[in-house]
Amino acid sequence: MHLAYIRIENYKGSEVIETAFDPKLNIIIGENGCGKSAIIDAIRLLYNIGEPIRELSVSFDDFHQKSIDNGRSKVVQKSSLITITYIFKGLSTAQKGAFYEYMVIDPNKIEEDYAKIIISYEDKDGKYPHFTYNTGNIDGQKADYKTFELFQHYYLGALRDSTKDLLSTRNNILGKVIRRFVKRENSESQIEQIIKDANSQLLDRDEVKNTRDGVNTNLESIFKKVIDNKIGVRIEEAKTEYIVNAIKPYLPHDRTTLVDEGFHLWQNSLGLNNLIYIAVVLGDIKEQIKDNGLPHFALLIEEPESHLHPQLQLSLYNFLNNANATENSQLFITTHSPTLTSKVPLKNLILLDCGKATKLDEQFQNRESEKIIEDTTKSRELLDTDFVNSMKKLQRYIDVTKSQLLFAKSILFIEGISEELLISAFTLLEDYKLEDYRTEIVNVKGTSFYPFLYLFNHSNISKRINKPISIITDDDRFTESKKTEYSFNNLVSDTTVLDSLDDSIQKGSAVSRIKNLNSVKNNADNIKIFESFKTLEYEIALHNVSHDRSIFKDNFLVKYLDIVESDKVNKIVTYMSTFPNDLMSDEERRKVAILLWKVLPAKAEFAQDFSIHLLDNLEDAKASFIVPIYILNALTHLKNGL
Amino acid sequence: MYFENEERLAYLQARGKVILNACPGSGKTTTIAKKILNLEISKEIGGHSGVACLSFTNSAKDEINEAYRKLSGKSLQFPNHVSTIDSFINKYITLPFYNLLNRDFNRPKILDHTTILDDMWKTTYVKNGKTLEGLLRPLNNTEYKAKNNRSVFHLYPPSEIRIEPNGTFSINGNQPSSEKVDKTNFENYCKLIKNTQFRKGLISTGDSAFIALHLLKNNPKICEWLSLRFPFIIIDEAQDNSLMQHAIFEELIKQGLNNIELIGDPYQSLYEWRDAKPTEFLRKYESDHTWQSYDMTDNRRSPQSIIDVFSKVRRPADTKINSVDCEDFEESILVYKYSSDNHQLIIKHYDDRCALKKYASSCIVVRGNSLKDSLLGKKTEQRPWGIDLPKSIIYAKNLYTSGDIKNAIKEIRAICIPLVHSDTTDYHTLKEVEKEKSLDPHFNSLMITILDELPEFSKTIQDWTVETQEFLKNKLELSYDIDFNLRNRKSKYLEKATLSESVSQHFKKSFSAFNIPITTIHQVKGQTLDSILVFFNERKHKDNIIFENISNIDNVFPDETKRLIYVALSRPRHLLAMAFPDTITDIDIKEKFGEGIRIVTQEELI
Repeated sequence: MHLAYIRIENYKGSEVIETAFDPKLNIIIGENGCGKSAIIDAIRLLYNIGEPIRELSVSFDDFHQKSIDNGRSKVVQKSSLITITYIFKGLSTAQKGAFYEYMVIDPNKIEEDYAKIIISYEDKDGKYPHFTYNTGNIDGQKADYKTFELFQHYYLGALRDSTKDLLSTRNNILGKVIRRFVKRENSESQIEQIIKDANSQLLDRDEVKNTRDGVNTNLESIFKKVIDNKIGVRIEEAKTEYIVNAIKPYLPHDRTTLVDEGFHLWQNSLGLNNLIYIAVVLGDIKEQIKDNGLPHFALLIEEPESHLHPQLQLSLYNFLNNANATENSQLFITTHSPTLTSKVPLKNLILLDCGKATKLDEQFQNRESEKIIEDTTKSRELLDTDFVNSMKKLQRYIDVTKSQLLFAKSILFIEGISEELLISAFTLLEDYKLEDYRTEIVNVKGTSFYPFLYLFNHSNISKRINKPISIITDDDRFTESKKTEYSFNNLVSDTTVLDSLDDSIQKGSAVSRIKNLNSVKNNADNIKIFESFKTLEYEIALHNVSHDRSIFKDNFLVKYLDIVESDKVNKIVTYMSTFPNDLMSDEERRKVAILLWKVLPAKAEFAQDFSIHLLDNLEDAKASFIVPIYILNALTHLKNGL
Repeated sequence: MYFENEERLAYLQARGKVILNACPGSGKTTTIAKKILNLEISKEIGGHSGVACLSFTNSAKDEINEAYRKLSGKSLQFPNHVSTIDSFINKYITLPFYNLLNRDFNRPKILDHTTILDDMWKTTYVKNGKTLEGLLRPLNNTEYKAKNNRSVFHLYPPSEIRIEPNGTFSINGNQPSSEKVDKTNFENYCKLIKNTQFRKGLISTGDSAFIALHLLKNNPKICEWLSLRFPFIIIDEAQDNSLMQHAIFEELIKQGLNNIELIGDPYQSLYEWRDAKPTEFLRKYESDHTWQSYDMTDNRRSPQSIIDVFSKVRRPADTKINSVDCEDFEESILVYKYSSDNHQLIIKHYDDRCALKKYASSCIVVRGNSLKDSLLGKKTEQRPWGIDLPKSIIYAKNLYTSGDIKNAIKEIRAICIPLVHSDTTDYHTLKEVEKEKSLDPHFNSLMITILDELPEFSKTIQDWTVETQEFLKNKLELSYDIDFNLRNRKSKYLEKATLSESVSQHFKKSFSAFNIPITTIHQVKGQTLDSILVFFNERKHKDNIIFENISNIDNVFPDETKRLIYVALSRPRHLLAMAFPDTITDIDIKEKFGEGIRIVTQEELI
């Protein structure tokens, strides 16, 4: 049995939010304030109903408020009804019996059935929000309140002091586990005997006896004749319940025998104590399920990374993934940790964004009907298997390069390290700090943008992760331009070669990738493709050749090249002098740009050196370096979402 | 303390398909309670699986709760469920899975009154300036017409159409007259009205049972889950189960229910008019070997002399009922002989006897309104109002004064909601409002106030009518006047003098002078009384009980008339009094009941 779906209406920050869940592990990610805690709390509400002491209930502050602009003024409207719908699937037959009043059979698909409960809180001007619930599919059907005890949960809040929890006597979770074993073994009397023995051994000691007698002598002289007020002494009452609660974890120095001296838990780090707590809880769940197959256990952990270093976060994930192998328990974790997120399969990730929750693998499911074509040369529509493959690729990518893209507000996809270095430097010229807009640059190290796009291109806008996406890529026309016949020297010494190269570039056609990307964009207007004419470097060269040849060398880029390749720059100046006027025609300018482009050092080297040069001389660069327009457009698109 | 004998022990230890034939006074209810308790102790139920203990009437349900509380000191609660069979079927089968019938169907409502099924087809139209009543389309189409060329509706109104377990249609169990209607037209008609009704989500209790059976047959998993939720189903008063109900439980057994117990006494079946089929109970008990049959033949209520009287209705071959631990007092049986003018004397004599012996729980039972009215010294029932509303109000108030506050509020709410929402006629909407208002403490307190402050029944009918009309208008803040349609001319239904007589004289519960209730046999069913006076009718009539009925000469299972006698005569602990018309001679009486029978003479009465 597992919680398969939740729909939350008017609770805290969300007007309506719904999502599916994975049967085992759910990692809920998203920015601060996007409603992660609202989802966790919405789950906790149900699981708290059956608890003798509730950790959480709904107050009037929890009703969703929204401001409505009615033309002239803004009015804050407070909703008066919170409704949360939960659907559980995968029930065992025994569970279907126990949850009989919750069961719904899908009339469209008789073999499908599930358990459903709706809880609601209404603001009726009473003292508290008015709570009601409804099980199954008909209004007013209410399973007995006692069935709520089948929803069991453990909750570790973001700043929870698990050390205290581990050491408390009242809610001693370790004690609970031990008690379960004792009950199963029927060994209460043996356990109790241990304390009885200890008590009597202590009592045999004169030190203890004398103390006791001393107290009693004093009492006697207070009460005089009445002697029914005497004390005995003991370590602990010989009752299993008290004894097991007195058992506390500590950290023994001897890690093999695990006995004798050790550190107190207070001396341990909070992060490690969190892990101990989680380990104990999972042990408890496992044993409870052995005793009773009916309840469902939810373990909710908020931001487990808060006290753990990255490697330990990964270990925690691996542990949770393996330890939580039982059918009836389910994990819900919120996190901001890219490290943790990157290791998690997409099916376990739920992304909260713009008031919407998306289970990421759903972006790769049931999408055949959208008839998306990735390869426009072949016009083949994508099948479910293609989406599965894309998901695997994306998974692999996220695994290797971390998962910041999921946490960003907007994303800029680029082809390689050169673009990454240059574009991030360009943003500084424009006073555009990527982090201000929480834009993430994703370097796909190649041209395979597609797997990423499926996260953001759903034709149904309500299912789409609707973040602004810019893709910067080259149209890579006339790739023969790399050949040695078009080397700088050949071009500058024989202008007919230069003429023909320019001609070929002008007439060249864009690679099919541009068409394909626009096809995969699937009319989603949050996605925009910005392609260079030819390549980024070509565009940089073109934009930085001024129209007036007399100020050619005033440009920041030209100045930079004049330092490293002054010979070649001078040759270009010589070539330019053959033009009739100072003001160059477009064609003349283009040819100068081709030469300048050829002067640029090898791709990687240029990007590295030039970006450093840019950053070192920001003021000069701002004065005379021109960033290619298509890049500015790409950046502007990312800003538009905000 | 619960006394265990061999018969009881055998039943308590039985598991599986069990049928228990329990004679009157055998402690059936307590034994059921004991069985539930045993199942709890042996952990056969508990956690989230329990017993569904079902009975025919609400009062029988309350008795089981009460018996369980007495035995265990706690109340019977989750995971166990005690209710009537009807509400169990509605709550656990029909309502939750109704949407499987057809997605387009409305959410269902189980109807309290079936008149809506007829009314939903009625309409009015204007012809030649006159408003006339008519039927909605397509009921007047040829395919729905009877042989008299009028719609079948007029012959067999929708509220009387029933679906049988095999899916065929009947008129309350009977087939239509082939002289009056063509069979195909009848079927067309039935299909049309049932489909329309189901689509609108309006279902009667009978429909609900049919739908439940249909759902179980087509969705075995419902049976499976239900059998896990309730691994034990105990049906009390099972002799009153209809064939449809039998079929539903058969289906549950077929699909996985392991433990089912039918408990009852076929001789006490009184609900043939509600489709009770005691012979099916008897068949399972006597000849179906898949059922294990058990008996409880010890009667701990009545002395042997009383048992011998009601045993005359039993078949001679039946197991004898033995009185256990009951002292046989002298004169535990009294026979009165009534003439046209000594009814009141008989009642007074009986009253005095009960007072003398301190019989706190006694009853006078009678069949037929005219005999009852003459026992009460009343003339025929008067109908001073043209609408039912005032009688409903009186009924609610009577419930209130008798302490049944929950049902009184329910009744008065059902009366007030349509008055407040007079612009709404849709049944679903009104029921929604009713449900909503039932949770509204302000409205409920208003309901109590109305019940409490209602004009006194000691007022004359004339005054009470005027005052109550005004009272309701003020309390409910209505913008229009309520009219009870008080008749003021003498008619078949009304003698003029009635209007100046008090409400209580005509519409209060009936009691004798000593406050012994005068009531019907159905109302004493299942009860244990200290004494009872049974008035037998004079003339032979299908609804009457007469002296000759106290017999079973042909050795057959008795008809319902005889079973009524059986139920009535088996109630008392100490005194059984019977009143026969004086046309029955002392010789007849002595021949039937033996020489020792005590006949009260006319002189003793005066």
